[in-house]
Amino acid sequence: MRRSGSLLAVVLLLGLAGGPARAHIVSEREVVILRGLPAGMLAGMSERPDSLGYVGANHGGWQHAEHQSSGLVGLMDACARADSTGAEAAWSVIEAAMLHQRPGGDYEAAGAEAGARQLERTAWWIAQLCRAEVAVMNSPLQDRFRWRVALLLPKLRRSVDWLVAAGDELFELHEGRPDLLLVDAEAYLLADGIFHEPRMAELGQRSLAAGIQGQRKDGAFVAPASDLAAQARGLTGLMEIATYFPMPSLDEAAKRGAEWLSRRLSRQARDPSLPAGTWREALLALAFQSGRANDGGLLGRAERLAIQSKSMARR
Amino acid sequence: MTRALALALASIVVGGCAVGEHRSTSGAGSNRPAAVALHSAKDVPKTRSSPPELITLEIGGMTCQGCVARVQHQLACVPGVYRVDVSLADQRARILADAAVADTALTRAVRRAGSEYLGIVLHR
Repeated sequence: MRRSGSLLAVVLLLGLAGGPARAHIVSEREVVILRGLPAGMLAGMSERPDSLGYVGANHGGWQHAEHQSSGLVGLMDACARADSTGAEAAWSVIEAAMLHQRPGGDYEAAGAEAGARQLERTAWWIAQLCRAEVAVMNSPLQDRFRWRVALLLPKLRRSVDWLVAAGDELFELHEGRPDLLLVDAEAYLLADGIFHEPRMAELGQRSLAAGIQGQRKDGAFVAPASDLAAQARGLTGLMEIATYFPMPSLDEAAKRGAEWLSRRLSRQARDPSLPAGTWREALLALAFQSGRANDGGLLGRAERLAIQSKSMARR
Repeated sequence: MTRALALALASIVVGGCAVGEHRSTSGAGSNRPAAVALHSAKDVPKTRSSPPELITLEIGGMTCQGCVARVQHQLACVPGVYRVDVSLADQRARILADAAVADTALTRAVRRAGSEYLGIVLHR
């Protein structure tokens, strides 16, 4: 009886030891890529939160959780570089967003917008939040944020459940839009990497297969060729999936997608009507792809375009 | 009691096909090399419901022969799959299966091998 008791204790200990490891994808790939980019590059491209934790278009009053996503890049970058001061400041981006989470898991939004657009914007935020959670918990600062992440997980789960419940509707709405399908795939697959639910994996795989199939030969994910922000988001979704589940076809698709974006951005670089948010998301996507593929040429182009975008903003 | 606990622990460690799925003839824990086919073409039953077809699956997240063995085992458990050959170098699985086997049954099987793996059907 005593022996069986000690065996039971071993089983329980194994279970406890296995618990945290299964809480999220265990992989340093993203952290290594972020650390490999020139210091200050991502920090310069991402946005810093104000005293309320608001970022971008949310400065001056809450608009939508979607805008908070540009602050998450700063959080991931700081965590990857073990910059605890920067990471602490950037964590407020998540706390501010969670104050606007509704009981159902979606988020408050200013203004009346069609349901389809709301779904699309919230899917982007949830995808980037899952990305940040995984990156933080694989970073050198994981111990510092362990309890905060533990407190965040039930809220994140509520949002993911909301997105899963809308899965079929989202797939129908995004049919023919590979850029949006890839963002949905990122959200579902990374959420599955955190919560391990077969339904999340199924939805993610379905969106990924359709998104990849829909990419044009020239690398575009988007039908209106001027929509650089949509291309950048689709590329970001694809790159995240390819980072955690590397496979040749995804790497090839990401390479073509980034080349298309880089060409278009160079062509439209002098267009003063190009919104700052579009610049930011496109440059972040190009910088990340350059790190993933170890592509010095692409990194140089992204750096030149970043300088150009600053000079355009000053005008 | 001790034996029951040991068996429970062993089943956690070894793993197996999910309920309702068939198992390869060699079973888990055999000494066969991971990339060797579990079934040969002669294993294809004569009373099959639809003609067999060759399916290529791309698999992300495999880093070692242990990963290959896990993925291969789960794919071999899918009803209607006759032959599986997983290659770490190509990050691909070549599968001989009933045409009726759905893509989702295969991609789900890859995911069952571990949440670090992801499969997409390339050709069929």
